[in-house]
Amino acid sequence: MELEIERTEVLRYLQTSKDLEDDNINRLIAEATAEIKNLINFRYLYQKFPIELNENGIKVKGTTLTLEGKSIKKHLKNYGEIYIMAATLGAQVDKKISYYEKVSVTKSMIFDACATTAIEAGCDQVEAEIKKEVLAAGNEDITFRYSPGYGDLGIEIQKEVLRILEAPKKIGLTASKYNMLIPTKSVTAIIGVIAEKTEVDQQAEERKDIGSESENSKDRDLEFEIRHCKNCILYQDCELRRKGIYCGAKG
Amino acid sequence: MELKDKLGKKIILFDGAMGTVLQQRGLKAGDVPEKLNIEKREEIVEIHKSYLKSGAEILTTNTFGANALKMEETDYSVEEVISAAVQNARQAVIESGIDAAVALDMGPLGELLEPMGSLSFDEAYNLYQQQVLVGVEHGADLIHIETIADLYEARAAVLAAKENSNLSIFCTLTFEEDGRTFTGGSIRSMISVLEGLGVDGIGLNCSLGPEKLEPLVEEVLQYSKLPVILQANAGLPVMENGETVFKISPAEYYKPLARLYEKGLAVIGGCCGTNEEFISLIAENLKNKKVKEREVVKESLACSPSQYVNLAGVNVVGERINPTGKAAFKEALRNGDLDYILKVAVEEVDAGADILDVNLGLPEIDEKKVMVKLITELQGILDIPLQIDSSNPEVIDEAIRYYNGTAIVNSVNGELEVLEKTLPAVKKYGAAVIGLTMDDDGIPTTAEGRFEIAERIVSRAAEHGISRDKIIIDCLTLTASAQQEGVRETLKAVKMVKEKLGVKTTLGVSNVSFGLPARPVLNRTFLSMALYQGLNLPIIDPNDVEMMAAVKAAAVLNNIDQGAAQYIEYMSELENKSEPEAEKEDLNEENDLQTVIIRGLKSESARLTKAILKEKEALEVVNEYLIPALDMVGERYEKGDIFLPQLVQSAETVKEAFSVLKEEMARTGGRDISKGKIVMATVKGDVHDIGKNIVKTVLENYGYQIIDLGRNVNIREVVKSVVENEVKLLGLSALMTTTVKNMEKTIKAVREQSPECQIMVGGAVLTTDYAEMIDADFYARDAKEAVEIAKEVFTE
Repeated sequence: MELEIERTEVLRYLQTSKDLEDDNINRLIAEATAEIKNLINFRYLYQKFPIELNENGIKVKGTTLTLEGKSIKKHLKNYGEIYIMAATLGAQVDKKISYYEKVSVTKSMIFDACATTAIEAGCDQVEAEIKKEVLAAGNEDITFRYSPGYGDLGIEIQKEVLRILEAPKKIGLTASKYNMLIPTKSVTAIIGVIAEKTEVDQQAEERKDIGSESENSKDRDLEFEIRHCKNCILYQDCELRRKGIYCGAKG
Repeated sequence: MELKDKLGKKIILFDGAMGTVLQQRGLKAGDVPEKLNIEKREEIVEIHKSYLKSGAEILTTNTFGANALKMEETDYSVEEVISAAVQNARQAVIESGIDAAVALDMGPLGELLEPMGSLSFDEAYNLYQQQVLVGVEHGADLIHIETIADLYEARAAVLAAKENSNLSIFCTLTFEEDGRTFTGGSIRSMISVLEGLGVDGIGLNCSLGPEKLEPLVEEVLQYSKLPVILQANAGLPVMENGETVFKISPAEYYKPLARLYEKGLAVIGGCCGTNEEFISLIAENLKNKKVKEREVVKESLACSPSQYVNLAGVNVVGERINPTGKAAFKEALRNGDLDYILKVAVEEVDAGADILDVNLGLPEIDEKKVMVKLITELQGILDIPLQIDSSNPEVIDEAIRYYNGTAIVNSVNGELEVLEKTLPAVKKYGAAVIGLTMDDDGIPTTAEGRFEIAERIVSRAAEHGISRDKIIIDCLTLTASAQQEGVRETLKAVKMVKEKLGVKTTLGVSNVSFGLPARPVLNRTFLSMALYQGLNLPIIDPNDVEMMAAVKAAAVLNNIDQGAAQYIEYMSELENKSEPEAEKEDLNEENDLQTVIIRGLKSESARLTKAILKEKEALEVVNEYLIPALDMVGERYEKGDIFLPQLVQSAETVKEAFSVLKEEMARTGGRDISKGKIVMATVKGDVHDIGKNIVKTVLENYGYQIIDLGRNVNIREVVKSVVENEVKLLGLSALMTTTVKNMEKTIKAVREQSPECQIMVGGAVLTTDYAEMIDADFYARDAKEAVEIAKEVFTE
């Protein structure tokens, strides 16, 4: 799978303006984009599970997992199936970021931003694949990706999620004692299957929520915020977000 | 026939899968299969029995993940699970009346080791050790380490097995189709490392079906002298109605195995998706058959997991990681500034070195500790194999234990005491070793004298079980100005040891020219002569283009570099490198250092600083040029005219200027420009380091000396550094909510030992309130704020 690394996305994660005019930085971005493509060993997995709402949260049937927390409950309450996915760029990308940290911090930042762009692009492709499968099965849509650590969905489930997919063995993706994914440029996520759109369209609601704080909304990417910022604990206070700049941190 | 006697002579059959069989029997996804050793004993015994009936001669215990990390999530201890698992296998043997060996199964720990992850090598070792001890106590017959993707983890497991049992050890890694493990490990490095550690069987398991693994297994058969093991999956799993299904039939599975049997495969079993039918079919065809003989390519490597060097060729050993005669290097070592050394290493690799010599011989430092730390850091960013250079056997022992790969030890010599102290470790860890042709009586003047010592080294090594192909002899370069006749003796000795002893050779080259004018031409000529005599490993400065070119040229003229391919490649790369940078403008020194800083032109910075230094004092440069430029950059950043990458780029440009100034100070012994020391660390468990590095770079710009402890830093280490360096300010970074807890613990520990030290914290998940809650003195939102905090702390 060839991953597209869009320059505008890289600039977003670098927290710069979209039309950055700096020859050096722009050259480094072009170099890093070319270099990282040779290091990426993109691997992914996903699997579909029926779910059931119970008093503790959302029970993922056929597994040991129950998804707890208000936010995930709200996100999935109307649906009967989910996909759990995991994806990684592999260990070589991490190693190169560490390498550049020793050689040039500027380069390591840029390389890191390219990697974040790449893993997001990879997840978008996996998501598209899932969506295709979901639509083919006669459903209407899917929800956006929801990861452990978003909102009040505990990051403690990280290892269990990986175990369910057998991700350590199959794609070399592990979590540390502190539930940090390693290789670090990796994602695990939960995607809901929307069988039928009800009168209350959850995602449209969330879009409305965000759009209503109208500050600077011309510079902001509301779609991006729904996907990435909405569940961040710093959401309310984030000054970057108000300026239409995004940090790239997850959780 | 005992398993040990049978191994490598007759085919030995393993059982098939356990995990996927349990899943088919209803084990939930995400559940821990090892629990069933206790909760569903009969079922486990039954599965073992079905494999016995189908012909398996080794039963693998259901203990793939039975390590303390994973068992923490269950109600059972490692002891309980492993003892039950071994008993279950044993019971199956008794009940079925079919004899079989019981293998203690050990899979990956589930967390990645440092430097990729946060688990230390010692922690990994301890986890495996615990499993081994329980397994041995309950009567396992052998130890089977499998499905490992990280060669370093395999190393920990094998050492734990070797040091805590007398059992046979099998070790199989898991590879992708391209012949690499997930962490980048190669087949050849696996062979070199595992053979070096002395396992009894080696091979591949899991990941793919036998057909896809066939070429990889062939490579193992071609290069490993050990019995070769294969336990493939039943093809790639497919998802059907939410179930994992393996599509290959036993007959399809067997076909490639039959071919591999003909090529010398010795131990066969199944992995995910296989069951007793697969094993039955293999047993019908191959049980007790004689293992086919095969030709093995003999080679001796120095390697990291992903990169190897065949010692029989001509390879350049970079000599720059060595404090001798280098003031800045010594200073960096004393300050624990490993980044300086890492940069030296990166330069050597960029210049084309094949192996790096690592020498940290400076009396004031704890050589053992720094050596291990440096090796880990080097291996965290570079793939090049390392040569451990120390005169202290304890340092060598420790370094090659922790080295991830096959190292070269530099060195032993003809003194018996030295040999006896060092060779056991060389053998144990499978390293290659350099023997210097000198002893208690010094360096013999004649080639024959040196040959004699080389012979002694070779025979002593043989007594320790070290074969000749692991030995590299250094016939010692003498100085032409002092011992002119000795130079020829060295060259003669190189040829003698090479031809008569069949060992590899190395020489430090540049000694030869000491005390004479135009040293480069002497060095180059001597190098060419030595290469003609059969020199394998010239130890040189790879940044010296002429020397590198001479090595490449000799390889062409000696008919080693076929078609001059490498020569041509080196020369064309050289040409590309020497091209001027894209935009070099005419900048005159006076006004333009500021422009250079603002625009982030790193390479110009050092040149201009040097020029200005001719007129001004270092401190004047700081105050008149650097600080105003930095202030301007900072102001523009705050106004939003420039962005973070540009700020950092400027900061790195200033850093270049600073390093010129520091060198100047070291040279002239001028006043220290440091405004104070700050310890910085990314806390235990957190491997995201960029934020801290940005803050560090900017703080350095403002004249603060940063003691950077790196990432994933133990609380103990932070406290120690704060106390020892008596710092007034500590900066801690954490990126995740889970690791902020360790930040809090670190702060608490520092407060106890060093109450006067102030602490600033930063990282994505922190806020002012959060910082206060964990008892930090300051929250630094960004690098700019960190500078303000430092100013406040150091002017108090």
